[in-house]
Amino acid sequence: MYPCETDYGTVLYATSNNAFQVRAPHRVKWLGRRLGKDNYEIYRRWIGLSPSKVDELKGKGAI
Amino acid sequence: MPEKRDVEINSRQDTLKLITPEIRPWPVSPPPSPEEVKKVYGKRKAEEFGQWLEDNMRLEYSFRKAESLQGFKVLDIGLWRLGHKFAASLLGQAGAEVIAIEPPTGDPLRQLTPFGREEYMLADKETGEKCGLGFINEMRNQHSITLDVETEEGQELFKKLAVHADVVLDGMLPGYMDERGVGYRQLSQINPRLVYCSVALRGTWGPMKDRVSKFGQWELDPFAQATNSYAHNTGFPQDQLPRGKGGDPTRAGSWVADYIAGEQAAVNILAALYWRDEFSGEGQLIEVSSAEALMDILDFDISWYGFNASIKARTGGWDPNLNQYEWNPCRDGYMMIGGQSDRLWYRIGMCIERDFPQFGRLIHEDPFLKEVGARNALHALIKTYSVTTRWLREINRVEAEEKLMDYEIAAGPILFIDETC
Repeated sequence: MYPCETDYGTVLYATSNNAFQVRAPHRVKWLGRRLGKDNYEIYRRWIGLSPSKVDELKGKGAI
Repeated sequence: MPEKRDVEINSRQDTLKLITPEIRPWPVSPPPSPEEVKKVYGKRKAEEFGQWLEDNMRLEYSFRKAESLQGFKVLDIGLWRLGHKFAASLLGQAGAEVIAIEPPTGDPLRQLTPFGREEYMLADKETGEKCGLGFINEMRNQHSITLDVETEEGQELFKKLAVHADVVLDGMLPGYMDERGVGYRQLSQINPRLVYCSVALRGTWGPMKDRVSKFGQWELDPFAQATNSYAHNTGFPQDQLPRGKGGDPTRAGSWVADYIAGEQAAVNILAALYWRDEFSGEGQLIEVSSAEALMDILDFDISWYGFNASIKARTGGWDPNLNQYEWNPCRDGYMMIGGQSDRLWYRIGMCIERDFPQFGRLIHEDPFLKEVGARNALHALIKTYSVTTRWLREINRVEAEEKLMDYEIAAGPILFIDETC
């Protein structure tokens, strides 16, 4: 069990047993995030929406 | 292991002082140091192997190593259930970029908290928005975005995202995505390499899929546990220890059907990606459902039923195939004792006889119990475990473990979560 810094403070979690591989182990990089935290980043990076477009769609209720 | 304590429990009042932070510090006891572990390998004359593992496998080193699914993109959409979330976080932990899609109002799972108590929820550092511990835990390595697939614009956005995705995980109700034009049939037109995995509860197709959901209700994990005989054979039968307290089928301590479905979904997806990238170049639709996932791990219950229409009963902590192989109550908890061979059967007895000489007379000298197969008869199990518990009830877990280990018998105390590391 390891403590992990998250958006919600320090959370204790059990690391997966997939985490023990010599070459390419699995790993926990973060735990939960607040709702819509990555809206701007993901919509920009995946489909090129500008932050203002995201805000506009948010206003319409689509995002 | 924690140190040995003398504990006397006569009422619930006595147990309260056992759970103070002084006795059970938070966070839990730290993992053993490399020096301590070295001694364990030393016993087997395997110091070199132990050192190699220390140098290569430590968790801390994982962060500078490669990620097996680097570059793979996963979209995860769903509500209420853990199956698709667990699959998504498994792929995320393997290095894929995972986007969890929630409606603008958020997944209702965010609001779930033990006994409905807000003080067990955690607040976001920036916004102060509260979230349940379960959801935080299941969101490992997932990005959070909002999108409403009920709206036309939302559907268009979802399609645009799905063009770039390798995997879509669907944890919505059966047919929900297809009805909105964003199911596998539509998405595979625009992205033929897409692996689309629906993680359902009682099937995405088939006669049970709409049992409850046609009324607009979500059915959650316990329905999957109830649908096959998993719930039926978990728990104590009426006449077993603790006496008079048995009888009801028991829910597994977690949403086990969803977790297993999630694990199987992840295995399916990895195989589908391999097949796509190595052989066919095509994506595919995968259907996993929690109820079926549990059927897969029901041991021999189905074969037994097919053999002579036997319906396996609940046997609590007892394994109906092995004697002794179960946990029984001791002074400060429960003690697992395992002896699956004739040799171990007698060694367990030798150990117990040191403190409790009647054990030998009652168990080893019972002619019925001489034969290995006969020991698994119900009355034989009851007798063995009753007499074993007569010994265990006088001692603590630590003592029982030490005594049994002296006789090279597999012994494992049932640990609380703060005693594990």
